[in-house]
Formats: sequence, structure tokens, C-alpha cells
Amino acid sequence: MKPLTTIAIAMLITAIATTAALMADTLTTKITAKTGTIDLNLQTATRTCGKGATTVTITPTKTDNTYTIQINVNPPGASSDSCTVQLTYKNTGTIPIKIYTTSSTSSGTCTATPTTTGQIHRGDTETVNVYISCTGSCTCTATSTAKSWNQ
Amino acid sequence: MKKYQMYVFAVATLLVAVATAFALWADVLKIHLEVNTGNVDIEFTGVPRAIEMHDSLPGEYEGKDVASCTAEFTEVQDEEAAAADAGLLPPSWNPSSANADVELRIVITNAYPGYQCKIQDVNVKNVGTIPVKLLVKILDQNHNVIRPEPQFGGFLSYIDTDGDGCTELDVDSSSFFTLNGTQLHPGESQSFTVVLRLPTERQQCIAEQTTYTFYVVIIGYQWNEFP
Repeated sequence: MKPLTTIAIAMLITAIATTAALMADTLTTKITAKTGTIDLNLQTATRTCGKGATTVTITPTKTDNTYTIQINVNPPGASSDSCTVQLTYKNTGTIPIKIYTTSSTSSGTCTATPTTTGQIHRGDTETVNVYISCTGSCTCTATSTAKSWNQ
Repeated sequence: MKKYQMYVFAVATLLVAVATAFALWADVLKIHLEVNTGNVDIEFTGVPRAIEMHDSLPGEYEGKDVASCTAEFTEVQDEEAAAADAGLLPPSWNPSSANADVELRIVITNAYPGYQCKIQDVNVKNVGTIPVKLLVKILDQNHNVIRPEPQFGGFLSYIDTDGDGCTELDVDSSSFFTLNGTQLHPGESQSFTVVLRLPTERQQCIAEQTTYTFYVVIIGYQWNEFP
């Protein structure tokens, strides 16, 4: 009887262990989100001044999605003049953007329009005008930043 | 010759006596034990459908077609890998007993802060023979269990997929979490949705041209061993 009882118990334990080993199942969901890019590129910067002899120097620098453009206006003989600098940007990212532009100057006036562009789709261009008016040499700093169109 | 016959007779008598005695002293009881185990088996059913959304409305913001979102069932080689790496499987779990389940794969491309996608028409079905209870765990890209950060009274849960301490995605309260603790009897199923979003309010965490990956593991335990 004893060996038979031992065998029976062993079989029962094996059956329970096998059962426990099977009593779970898993399902997996894998979620991957790849983000797009926001980017802009300054294509052209042209200027138009009231006086043909006025010197305009444009110096753009880019950091991430922001262009900082220094515009130095130097009318002849320290006279007064007004200039318009046209900055044409291209959306070189993968999602639509809007470009936000601010301007500042230590002397004279400096105004950017539009301060916020409309939506610029991938590959499209948009122009921002910067108006500068000063007497004698002055420097205007325009800063253009690209942001996602939905923000 | 007579002596020889007597020996034969004596030996034969002894054998008969021993055989009779053994027949009296021994007995056999046979126990036939048969255990037929059931099985725990769950699977995804339905036809997953991905719907782009913004502010609870269908489609992307302003009707644009910028990002994309797909959801499909795919065959995987080692479906238990993520759960096993995370140590979520029972200690006695036998990998060879794994079923050939499919994986629900959700892929978002060209995403941006504010993008939202809802996956629906997906069910978890108990196709085994005993009741199961479901346990839902979220794993980061390295298969580590992560605890979502509940916000807005638990309506949203932010998820840090890359372990940098900054949350890049969120899922809403209807996503997966409704399955937690759900008991399914054989043949029963439970539907769920997945609402994913790249939170604008966490856009400082969302880098451009980056892939964020996380896993949701649904474990069906036999109902009386639910941890």
C-alpha cells in the first residue's frame, strides 16, 4: 500500500504543478510614436531703402528653430532713412509651422510684420517684413521662431 | 525410486503451500488517477481601427493630414518576451506552453505635440476553458514596468517611455485600464479603446524626430490566482 500511496501522491503533485505552470497567458500591445520635425530655413534676405547710398548689413544666425537676424542700417552722412528688409523663410520640417517674429532696436524704430505668419506647410515659403527707420547708424535685431501650427 | 517420488511430492506440496500462503497474505488495490487540466488562453479579437482626433473631434487639428496612426494585429516570434523580461509571468510559468497569439501594434508617425489617436474595435477574449482575470501592466521601451502618472482625477495618465523622468505620451482612462481585474468566463470578451496623445502641456519632454515606444501587457491569470 505504501509504495502505491506514494506513487499516487507523486502523480497528484505532478498534475497540480503542471496545471499551475499553464495557468497564465499574456497579450502584448506595442505602441510606437515617431515625432516629426519643426524647422525653417532663411531662403533670402533682401532690402529696400529710401536712399540708394544707405548701407544695410544683414547677419543671420540660427539656433534650433530660431533665426536671429541683425540688421545694421547706416544712412549716408548720418542722415535719416527707412528701409524694409524682406526675410523669406521656408518650412523645411515635416509638419506645418507658424513663424513668430519679434524685433528690437536701441535707436530709431524697428517693426516686424506680420509678427505671426499664417500656416506654412511643408516645403512652402513665407515672407516677413522688417521696417527700420533711423537717423544715423542703427541696428535692429529680428528674431523669428518656428512653432507647430497648432500651438 | 520410491524415495525420489517422495521428494518430488514433498517439494510440490511445499510449493502449493507457499503459493496458497502468499495468495492469502498479499492483496493489491489499484488507484487510477487521471487529471485533465483546463487551459488559460486569451486572445485579441476584432478589427482594430485607428481614428485621428483633436479635442474629442475626429480628424487632425484644422482638418490637416500631417501625422498618421495605424493599428493592426501582427504575428510575433516571441510574444511573451516583454512580459518575461519584466518578470511579470508566474514563477512556474512554462514558456513552451505559450500560445501563438498575435500582438496589437500601434504605430504613429510624424507626430507632434497635440496629436491624438484613438484605437477602437479591439477585444480581449477568453478562449480557454477556465475563467480568467486580467492584469494590465505598462512597460517602457526597455521592458521595465512603469507606473503611469495620473492627472486630472485619473482621466489621463502620463507615460515616461524612455526613463528620462519626463513624460512624452498619455493615455486616457478608457485605455487598457478598464481591463484591470476584469473577469472573463470562457467565451466571454471585453472591448477596450486606446486613446493616445502627445501632450501639449508636456511638449518640453517631446523631442523632434524621435521614436517613443512602450508596451502594454495584458496577463490573463486563472481567476482564483489573480495576484
